[in-house]
Amino acid sequence: MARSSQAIVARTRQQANPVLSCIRSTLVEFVADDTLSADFLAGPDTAVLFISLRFQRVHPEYLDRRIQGLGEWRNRILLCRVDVEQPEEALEQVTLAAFHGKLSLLLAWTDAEAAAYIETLHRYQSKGAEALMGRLNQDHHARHLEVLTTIKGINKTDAAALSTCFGSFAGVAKASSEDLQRCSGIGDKKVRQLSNVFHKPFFPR
Amino acid sequence: MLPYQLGAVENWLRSRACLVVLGRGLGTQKVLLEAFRRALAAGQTDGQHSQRVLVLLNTPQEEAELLAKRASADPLWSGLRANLTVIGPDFSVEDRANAFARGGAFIANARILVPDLLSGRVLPETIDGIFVNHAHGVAELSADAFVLRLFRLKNQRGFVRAISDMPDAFARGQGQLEKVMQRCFINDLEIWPRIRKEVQDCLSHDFQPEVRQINLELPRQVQQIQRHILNIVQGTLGELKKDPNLELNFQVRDSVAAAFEAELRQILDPAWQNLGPQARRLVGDLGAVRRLLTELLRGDAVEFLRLLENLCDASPVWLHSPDAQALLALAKDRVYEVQSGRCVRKLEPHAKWAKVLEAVDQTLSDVIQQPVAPPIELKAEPVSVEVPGLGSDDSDLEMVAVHRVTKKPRTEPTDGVLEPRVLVIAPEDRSRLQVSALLHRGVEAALLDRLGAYLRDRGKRDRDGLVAREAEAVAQELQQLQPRSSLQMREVAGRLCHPRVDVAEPDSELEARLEEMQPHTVVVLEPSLQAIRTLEVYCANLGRKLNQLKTVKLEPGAQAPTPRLQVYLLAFEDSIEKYRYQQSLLQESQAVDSIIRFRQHVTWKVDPPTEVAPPEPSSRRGGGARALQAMVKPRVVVDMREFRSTLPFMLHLRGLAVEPVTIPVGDYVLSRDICVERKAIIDLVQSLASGRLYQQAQNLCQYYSNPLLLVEFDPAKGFVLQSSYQIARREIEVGTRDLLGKLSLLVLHFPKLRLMWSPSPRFTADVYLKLKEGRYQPDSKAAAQIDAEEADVPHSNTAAFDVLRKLPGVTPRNMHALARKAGTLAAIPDLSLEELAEVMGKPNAEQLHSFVHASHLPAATQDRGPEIPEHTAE
Repeated sequence: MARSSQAIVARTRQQANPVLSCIRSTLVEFVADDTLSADFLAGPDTAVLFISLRFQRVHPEYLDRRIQGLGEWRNRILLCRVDVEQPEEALEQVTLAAFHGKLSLLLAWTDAEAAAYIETLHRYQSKGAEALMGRLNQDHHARHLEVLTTIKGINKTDAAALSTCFGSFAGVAKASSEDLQRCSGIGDKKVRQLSNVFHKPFFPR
Repeated sequence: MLPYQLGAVENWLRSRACLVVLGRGLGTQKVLLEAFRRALAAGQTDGQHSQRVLVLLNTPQEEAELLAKRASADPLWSGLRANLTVIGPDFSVEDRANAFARGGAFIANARILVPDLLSGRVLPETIDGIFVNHAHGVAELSADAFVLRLFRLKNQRGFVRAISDMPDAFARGQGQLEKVMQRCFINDLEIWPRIRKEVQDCLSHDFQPEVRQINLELPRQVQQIQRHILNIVQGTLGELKKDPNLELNFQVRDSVAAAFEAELRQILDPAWQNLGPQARRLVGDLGAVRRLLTELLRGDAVEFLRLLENLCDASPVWLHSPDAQALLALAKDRVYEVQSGRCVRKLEPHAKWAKVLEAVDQTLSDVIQQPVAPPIELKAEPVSVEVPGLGSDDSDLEMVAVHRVTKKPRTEPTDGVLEPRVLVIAPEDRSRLQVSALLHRGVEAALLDRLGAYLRDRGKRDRDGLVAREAEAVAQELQQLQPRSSLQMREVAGRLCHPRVDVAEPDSELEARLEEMQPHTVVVLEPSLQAIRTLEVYCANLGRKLNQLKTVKLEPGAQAPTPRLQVYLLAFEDSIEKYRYQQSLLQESQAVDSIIRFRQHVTWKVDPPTEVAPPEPSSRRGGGARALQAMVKPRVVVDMREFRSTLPFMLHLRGLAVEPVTIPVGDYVLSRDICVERKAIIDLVQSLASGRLYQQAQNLCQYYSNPLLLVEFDPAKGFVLQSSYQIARREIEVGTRDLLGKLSLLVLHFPKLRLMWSPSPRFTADVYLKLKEGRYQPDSKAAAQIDAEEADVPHSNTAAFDVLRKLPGVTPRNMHALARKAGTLAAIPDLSLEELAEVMGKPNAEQLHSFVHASHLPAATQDRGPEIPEHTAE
């Protein structure tokens, strides 16, 4: 379906779906129900099935039938709208159906969230994985805090205090127990924890 | 041991499954150790039980070491077959297996013990019994509860004995006591509060210390500060109440109580996802302001100002309220004052400091005036008198003799040098440091030292270096100041005198500390139930020992010594600390009442655990394999590191066999093709940001045909991924910084990766069971042998690796080489750029090097910087 690279392609049946009304920045085109096996095409090779837990409760056999008829796509996604109070039973059915049908399950708690998933999937069709590899667009300071909070018992406030007291990572790493103790909020236990992390060898013995 | 403590031990040991609750500070450690010793001795007499194991659970490492030390110093333990061994994190798997095979008494961490029990390194049948320390802390689905269940499943005869010294902990939440007893499989309850007759009799002994209650007026400024802080707390709380998603009914009085934070959390957690950033910030602010409240009474003026300014740097919501401005002005006023354009230092010492110094001096003169040799020396003498009838197990005379061994004099005990001993009980690390600085260097020096540190701290952000210059001036002044230590050897009234002052925390160690030091004077810096009760117990012990000495008659004509113990209780009138103390008293007595009522009215039996049969496989999948399936218990391979989570216990409860193995890829292997990576929401966000999840997803997809990512929600916090606020506010642009964007990208890049969203461990366990239907059991050997780049080397400092992994430029590929090169995390800054490039390549090395040495000091803030430099410049 060539149009799917410019627009989200939806089945006509989905016209009444409130999720569609939350899609604002992407064009939505409708095609006849029998020409599309998925509910939405977020990209040329990304098929999305939509199910709400309330619907699943009433028609438990519907989802299996749809999955069987889905066909081969590179990305097969099941977008599930959580709209019931006690989701466990229906969610278990959906989870198992997605697993056995080889679909990636995404959950949305509001229509807006579901719409955001569809739009994002559409927009990221040809996006690389760099954003997932992490640690790119972060300034040193935020990174420094994040590194320090990895240590057990050190929360954000402590990390900020350590950062102000010692300036750099090198400063914190080299600080003596006495220096550490001068930092507000850093007590005996945290000092011990810090010196364990920094001064105990990576490979004992 | 006091009679009531012995009584508690005896009653406790009478039942094979009993919980004993003592009042706070009534000597749990002694009761626990004695009961442990007797259980060990009882096992000994059986003869064939030489390889039996006794375990103590739920004891933090530090307390465990203290207990082991106390046991090894006690001669009553020396005749036993085994000493108390602490199974620490430095024990390897083989060490543990050997230790348990030998048998004996162990203090073990449940998280270590669970895998050992599951993999058969420890057999439940060989365990004689389990002691549970701090029973109130045994949480639902915790590792401790897991150990107890595994033990009870296979061993109905062994005992479970639990102990707690926090009656009030059982009163928090509905049916907490029953739940704990159920978790520990305990059906008997003993309670020993302070008001119990036996305890009352013991503690109202004829030996009573001289107690001097000193109620200090709060200084006027402090009073005002306290009022302003309370106003801020009230204001912040008022703001929070406006949030439509919350229903709060708190008074300011409540918000002063120590447990307020926990209560607030309880209310907020279910609604947390619906709160906007404003409300979340308010909650954070509330915590910080409440810390000010405690710090105000505990710390000195400089410390308070420093804390306050640090807080203001984070620009809390209340910063621009009139109260905050008044607060800042007052706090500054206690440190320096501006008079006609010049800055005058006006260091206000803490009001309690004078009293502490006074107490030290008083002790000094008292001890000197004592004509007879102080009683302490008498006790230090070896008491080698055989007393018929008192040489039995419980004799305290032997205890007296022990002190000679354990008490190590600080210096060579020169004849004629008196050693007045003072113990100061201070509530926390910081105030302990302050008091010891005060004693070593005097009031002025202690304050100047603080000021110097404060100015140096401020000076780092000041571009002109004026603050730094002021700091130098302070440092110089400090050097010129005569040190006025209260601890020096000196000559008073013709006798040499070497005072010894210790500072201790009111915790479980306090009792041992008192016994070791035998102070003439004790100063309780802040009212605390634990401190006061421990003192009572100590005095009762002292009184009993003296009585025995009197009856023994050491030498004809020798006078029975009268020890002196002076106790100073310091407290501020009309202050938070006093209110909190009274609250803790009240809460304990209410809790005791409710436990007693519970004990009178409720009788029930706790059923022993039974093996859970896995549910019948449904007909959905499997077919021919069903007959075989029914015979084999479904098995799950669980990574060793996963035992921190509650899921393995839940899997066990649902009838799955849990096999602990260290596996390099994934957390749970369900079958030969299904492997699960578990991520709690916080981990999910972090590992998506750090790139760790990308790495893990790659590994999963490479080694398993059906990889599964489990997104785990905390049942207490509600089953919602993002707050409704965030979604409502969502701009049309969804960025890659955003969780939703990252998840979409993850799904697009890993089409093979399945996802599972679980509202509770129970849900996860049920889905696991269904997923396993009709599939082969997992192969733990194959799972363990996968050679992934992420594989952790066993016996490594994992906490350090966790930090290392997060540093820029560090990849799974170069991580181990870098670790080997540096040796420790602290040595990484020492490596030059060239050295780094050797192990990790130039681009990575540059990233790491610049990060490690970059300064992260926030830019100077003009409006809140100290005003000192401007004025001194004039």
